[in-house]
Amino acid sequence: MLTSGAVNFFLMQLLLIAVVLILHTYIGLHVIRRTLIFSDLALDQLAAFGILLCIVINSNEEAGNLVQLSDPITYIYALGAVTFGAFLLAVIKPKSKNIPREAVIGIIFAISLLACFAITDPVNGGEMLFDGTLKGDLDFVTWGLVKVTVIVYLLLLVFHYIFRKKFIALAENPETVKNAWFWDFLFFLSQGIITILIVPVAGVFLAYVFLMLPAAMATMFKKQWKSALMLGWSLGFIACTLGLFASYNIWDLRFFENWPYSSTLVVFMGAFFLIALLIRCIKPLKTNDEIKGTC
Amino acid sequence: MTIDFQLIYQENHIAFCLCLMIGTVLGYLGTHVLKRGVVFVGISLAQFAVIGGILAEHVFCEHGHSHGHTHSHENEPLAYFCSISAVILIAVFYSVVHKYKKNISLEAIIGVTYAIGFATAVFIISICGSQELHAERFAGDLNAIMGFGSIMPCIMAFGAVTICAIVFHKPLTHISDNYDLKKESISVIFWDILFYTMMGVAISYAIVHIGVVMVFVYLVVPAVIASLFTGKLLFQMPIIVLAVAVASMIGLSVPYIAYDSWKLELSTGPHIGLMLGLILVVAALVKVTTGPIVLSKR
Repeated sequence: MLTSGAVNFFLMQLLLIAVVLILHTYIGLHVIRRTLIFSDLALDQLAAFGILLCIVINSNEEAGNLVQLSDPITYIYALGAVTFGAFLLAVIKPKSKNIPREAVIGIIFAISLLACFAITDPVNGGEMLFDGTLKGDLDFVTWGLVKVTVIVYLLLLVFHYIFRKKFIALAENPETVKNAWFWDFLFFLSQGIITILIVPVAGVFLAYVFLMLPAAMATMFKKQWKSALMLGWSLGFIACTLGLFASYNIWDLRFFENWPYSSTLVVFMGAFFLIALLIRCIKPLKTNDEIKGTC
Repeated sequence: MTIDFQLIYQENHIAFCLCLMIGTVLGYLGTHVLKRGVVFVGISLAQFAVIGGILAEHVFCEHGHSHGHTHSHENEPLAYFCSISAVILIAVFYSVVHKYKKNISLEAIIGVTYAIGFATAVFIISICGSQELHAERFAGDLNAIMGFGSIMPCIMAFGAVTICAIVFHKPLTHISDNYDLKKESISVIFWDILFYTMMGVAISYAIVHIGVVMVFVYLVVPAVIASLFTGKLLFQMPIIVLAVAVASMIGLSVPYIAYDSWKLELSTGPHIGLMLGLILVVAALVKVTTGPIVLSKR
């Protein structure tokens, strides 16, 4: 049975997931419809690079690592890295048909991942730091972090609501948007900011999955933004809640012993996604839910 | 500071030959990947090859060693079998989904399955009682190469893939050039499965030495460098070989220079990748400043 402290912690995580999923699903819908699939992974990895750079710069052989993964100063470095990444993603648009934009995104991701590896390689315990940014750590979740995350997410939600027409136009009719690169930059920057808050807790891959999976499930069934957002959030929240139950072994079954929270959540969302994909492949799509250019 | 080039050559000539072979074949496959617009299929297949290796290590062998960072000859055939089975399975999945998917791009499905694959790998490792992720799985360990004998399986696998690429060049190129068109024929699924299986086999053997991320880098970066200047495969291949050779040579030398100069012990893989990234930046700048120096249009 869970103690009252554990119940408190469990509820805190559930609340964080509920808040995080709203904005992630919405931005994920944009990312999928614009086929910028790995832009979030690239920004997640850049945030991780910023965090690791901060730790490596502030470490020495005698005192070890003076900065830890979740220290406030790491967020500043991560912000610098994702701002640079958002700028690159916004301005580099290959004109050649032989080079898809996803290739640029992929290269930014791979180079930042290799850079993370290269800067942690000579440091004592570097491999653990590297692993830490990939997997995240739930111990970093505090009520303070939840409050900051909720406030930042609400501000970004308001920002996206005010400029929703611009961002939706970028996804549906990009040629009609003036200064598209600037709106692209703002879009990627907002994506980067949520990345900074989520990577230390969830790790690079869970952060990416939070953005992609609920949106991918919703895109397969709904064309309208509002209904897709609601469907994606609901499916994502149910999958995460079940995953969280399993990782806490709340049913007290031997089968669920040692299930790590981060990858358990992904495995549950992955199972939901595969079921949704199977249904979508078999069941005919309603004409008004069909998104042109993806079939 | 004196750099002992003879020592660097003695220690690295086998690794260099391996990198050149892997980079050239993956670079060729990369040109197809770019045309199909499924940039991340390589890293996704590599991730599932790793899952096969982890299953062989943790589930099927009670005291096994990893396929991907240490080399236990005892378990190698099983590890390769599991890795190749995993990539064939995911190759069939992508080929079938590409035909029947609705409202979502194949790249999105690849992205999602890649993340699920990564989480599954961590999940299996964790429930088997180990908390380690092993950074070598990302960037490989070229220092572990002990003579040509240790890379012989990789040479044979890449030889087989090269023969397939030459024999089936025409149908594969035709499908890659028309990948966005609505598929009606069942044979497209067959050629898709063949293409992804070729990639999967190459990747399964490559990740043992160079890791998941380096596989992705060799697949995409040289192909992008070549595509900056030409769309014709005949002109693309020499550019790919040159980029791979230069990056591998410098990347393999960096750890030796770093150790000689600052006593720093560095891995080779990331520096080859970073060098390829640098070459890409230089190539892009050359392209931007010189304008239309396209060798030949597609």
